Amino acid sequence: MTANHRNQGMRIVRRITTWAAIASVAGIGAVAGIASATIPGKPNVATSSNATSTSSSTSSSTASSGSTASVDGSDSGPFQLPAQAPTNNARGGGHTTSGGS
Amino acid sequence: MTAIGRTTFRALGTDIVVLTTDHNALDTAERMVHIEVDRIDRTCSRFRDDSDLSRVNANAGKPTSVDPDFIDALEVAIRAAHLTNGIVDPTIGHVVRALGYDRDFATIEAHAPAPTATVRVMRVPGWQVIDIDRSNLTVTIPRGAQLDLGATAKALAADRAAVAAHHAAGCGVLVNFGGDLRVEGPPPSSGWDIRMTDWQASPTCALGQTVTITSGALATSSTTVRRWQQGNKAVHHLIDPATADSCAVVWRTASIAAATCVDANIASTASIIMGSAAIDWVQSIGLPARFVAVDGTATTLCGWEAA
Repeated sequence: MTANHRNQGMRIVRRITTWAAIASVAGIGAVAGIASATIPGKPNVATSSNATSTSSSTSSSTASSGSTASVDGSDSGPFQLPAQAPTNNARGGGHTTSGGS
Repeated sequence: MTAIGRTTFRALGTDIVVLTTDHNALDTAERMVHIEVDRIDRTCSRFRDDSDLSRVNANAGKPTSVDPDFIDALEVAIRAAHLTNGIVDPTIGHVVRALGYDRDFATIEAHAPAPTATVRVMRVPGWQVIDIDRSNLTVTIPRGAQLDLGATAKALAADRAAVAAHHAAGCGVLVNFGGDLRVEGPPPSSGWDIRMTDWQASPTCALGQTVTITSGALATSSTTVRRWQQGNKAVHHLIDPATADSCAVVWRTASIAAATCVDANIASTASIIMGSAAIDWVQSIGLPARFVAVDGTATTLCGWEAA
């Protein structure tokens, strides 16, 4: 086997590895995109969480474009619970301000 | 013990309330709140032509250069859509406008258009159509789509304002942006007492419940305040994306407690739109809640103490 053949073989292996890595990333993204809570009584609303936005003008040819603003479920996080629930205040008054807009 | 400081001013189409545990720090806190109000108004207002949101809407179909603050607010809105499966959706702008809410609420009723068939056949394109390019600071929406970040942008501003005011003033701070309420820093010794009513401007004797919180946020969404007549039809500002219309009214108000005002607002808005299904949903996400039905009956959930 010549050095030329060996280099050609390595290039093919690298190419296969690169495409496998890209496919793997895409696969993980697809699985992450499926995960979302269902809303009772609203079966007709959109269930896709794939709102990842990529600019065609700035995307590079690899899967690791820095121009992608990922806003899908992977970085949205769940609701953040309060440290404690509101307690009833029978006194009323106080530093009163109200809800409702 | 220092007296509580309190000031109010009008902005973002609502009343802004600022309280501080140190009266002497009120001016500093208020200054920080104004900065955050201006920041959200400059980027996210539907009622000024030079805001990023108005420019994106006017330029639908093409990329529009925007401020990073606008992208932050838009991503918060998209997170809201994700967390609620699209029930709180930022692409409802054209529906809100068609219903007549295209100007400051104080002048809306005199200008509301008569209902038309166009309103009934509308659909909401959904948050998935929004294209954000952070590296080039551009946002693109398709032709026909219109953004409205009203629900989440005000809550984001309340969160930012409370944190900034606390850090600058060095004391406990409460801000209330028309029902989007956030506290930050050490509370008064007995906590922050908050009267929950249909409307922020209600007198303290109005029906409701007084609660105490020491941290986090409360948001109240209501179908009783921002409502108007469109011809013979009563409409309000909370839009169900599934019908592209004001949602059916099951709850007069939905109040939610969360660590941040954004999360409380997302859940309270979604609860109003979901109607009776909101009870199961809120229990599934675990946020303390108080729903008031049309007949005035209150339901408290997830640890929110009943009156």
